[in-house]
Amino acid sequence: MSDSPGHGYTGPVVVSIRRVSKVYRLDGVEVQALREVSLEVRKGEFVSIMGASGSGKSTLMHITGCLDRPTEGTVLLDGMDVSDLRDNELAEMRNRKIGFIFQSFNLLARTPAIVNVELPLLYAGVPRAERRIRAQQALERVGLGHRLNHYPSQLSGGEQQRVAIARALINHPSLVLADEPTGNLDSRSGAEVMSILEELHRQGITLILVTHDRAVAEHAQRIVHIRDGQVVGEEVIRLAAAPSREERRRIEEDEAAGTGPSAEKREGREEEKASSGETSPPGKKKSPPRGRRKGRAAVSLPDTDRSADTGDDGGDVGLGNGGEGR
Amino acid sequence: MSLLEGLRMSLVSLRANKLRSFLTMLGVIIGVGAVIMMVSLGLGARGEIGSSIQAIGSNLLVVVPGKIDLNSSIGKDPSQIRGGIGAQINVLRPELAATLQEELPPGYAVAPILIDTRSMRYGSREHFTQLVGTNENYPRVRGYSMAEGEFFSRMEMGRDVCVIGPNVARALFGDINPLGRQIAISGRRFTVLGVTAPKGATFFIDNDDIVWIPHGKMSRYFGKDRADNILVQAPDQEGVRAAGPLIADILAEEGLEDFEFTVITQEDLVAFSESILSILTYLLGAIAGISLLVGGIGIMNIMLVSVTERTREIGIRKAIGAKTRDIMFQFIMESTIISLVGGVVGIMLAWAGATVFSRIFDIPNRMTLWAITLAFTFSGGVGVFFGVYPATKAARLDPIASLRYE
Repeated sequence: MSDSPGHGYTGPVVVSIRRVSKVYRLDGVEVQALREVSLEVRKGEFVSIMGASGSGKSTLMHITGCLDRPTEGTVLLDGMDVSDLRDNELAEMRNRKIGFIFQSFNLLARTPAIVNVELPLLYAGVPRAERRIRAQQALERVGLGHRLNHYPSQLSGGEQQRVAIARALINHPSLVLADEPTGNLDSRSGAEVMSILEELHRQGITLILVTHDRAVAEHAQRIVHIRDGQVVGEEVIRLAAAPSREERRRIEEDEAAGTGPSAEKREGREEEKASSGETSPPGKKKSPPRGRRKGRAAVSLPDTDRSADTGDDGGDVGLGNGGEGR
Repeated sequence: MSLLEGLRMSLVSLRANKLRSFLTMLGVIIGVGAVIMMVSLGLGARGEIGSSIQAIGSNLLVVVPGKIDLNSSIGKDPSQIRGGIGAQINVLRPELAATLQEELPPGYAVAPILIDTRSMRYGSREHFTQLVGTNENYPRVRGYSMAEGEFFSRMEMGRDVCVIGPNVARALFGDINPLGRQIAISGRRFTVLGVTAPKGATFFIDNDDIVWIPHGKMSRYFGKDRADNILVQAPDQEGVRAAGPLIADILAEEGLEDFEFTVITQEDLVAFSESILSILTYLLGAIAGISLLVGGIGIMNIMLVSVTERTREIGIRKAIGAKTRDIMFQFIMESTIISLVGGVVGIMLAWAGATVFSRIFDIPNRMTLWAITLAFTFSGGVGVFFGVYPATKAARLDPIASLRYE
């Protein structure tokens, strides 16, 4: 396991996975899906977990997403230990802290888009009228303001995935988990979905993307490679070049108050990470703000992949333009 | 999640599978319908028997030989109900009727009943039917009126006269006017004084196929010197209650032992027959209840299929935060809706069915709120009961496995 590289994020730790192992017992045979995996994701980070099928990345995602419990080790979500929670407590954590985006969208076929998006709020006990408004706003944010009452079967794959994204975001989760979000989509829809994820990242939402596809993984700032249930390497795609306005403001406020980095240090559990965090804020300020261009410093990619991923069509699904549908 | 939310959610699922929901409901519809129809018609028949007992006459008491306890005779040998201990040694002399008539306060009417079966003959025509020896009080006590002629009076008790029912008149005389003509009863000639007006049947006994003669003649010619029963009509309901002990006292003075006779009021008879019919009604209701049970099992079956089919849906719901109780609630709600809606439709069908049946078989339809409430509650209970297991199964599904389910 490599040490956390200096990826430049100083926010609070959203996910902290410490020496987590998972053993399944299938027909009496023990299968070690994860071996002492450790991983830390801070607020506002966009991390890809990459690995072949059977590498354990799905198991890692399930454990991170409170769908499963580790056999050993601890998982902290927003500083809360979720390793040994009971089923209903895990359900509540999923409801309040996690937004899922699945490869196969996983929308309820018999309910219109808006009801699908409302669903997490239903289980959170939000009143109907408020659910409606928030679901509508969420759908507008992903550019589906004109498709509120369409059923999943009446939507294209890309649109379905955008509904799923709206559903993932509706309850303001601490963490959005995307499991091969483009796996069932054509390249154009896939690009749309990825640009939405990037936009979410720019807004300061913490994202973990699980994929086997390097081109998709590279949308993140950091790729964690996993093989045979172990983290085998990490690479930084780009530094925290684009903190959100909100995040920048927060950092500036912290600095003005004279608490910023040192406060972060107290939160940081490991010295190295904390120190790397201390050094990065000044660098951040010099970075171009909210650049739509990708930072290619760490990795260079073939242009073909790039063109499929980013293009100007990303603007179509930009935020705040969904209102036109109504 | 509120009840209303759950209701809304369940309706969406049920509507998505309309035919299946309906067929599942059908089991409950038939079950509830059958229960209510059986109970309603049973209660109707009970009322009918009650009113046909009323048709025997009004404010009646019956003195029968032997000791009978109607309340404890249900389920016993029927011969005991008719006779009981001492029935073989009948001590009810017909003359006791005259004694009772004298001793009871004014307003009471007493008629002895001596029953035999004889052959009646007029010319070449012969008719085999019931012969009743009684006195002049009979038409008043039994509520008969006359179509032609008169019933024999007190003065005519010593003469060889008879009164015939309309069916006897038709059988023996056809179109001939029977008044004043003589019929032969087992060879003895009796002059026809009158023909009664049609009265119908009580307990499947034709009230219009009887020949009546003075009871003294019955004893003299046909050797019957004991009354099968003595009918006492009280002037009013109050009189019925008062008469019981009075009659017992009078008969005791006449030397009858307590175990040698029983005084039964009409109310006792009504209550007795109603209790028998109640048993029948509940039995039929219980059998119909079994079909409701089968309907419930049908619900469980379909809910189990539904849980399997919707594994992925359950997985999605769980992934986005549905708790065990949310899933439970959703599925129990569905099965409860099926059975409650089935219950309502069943009640409506039963109402329609019972109306038709009561028209065809001429039984009054007594659909009671009681039966409706019971069936409705029961069907709701069936929905919850048979919904619990599938719902538990759904709620316990593992979210990861459910999400992978194809």
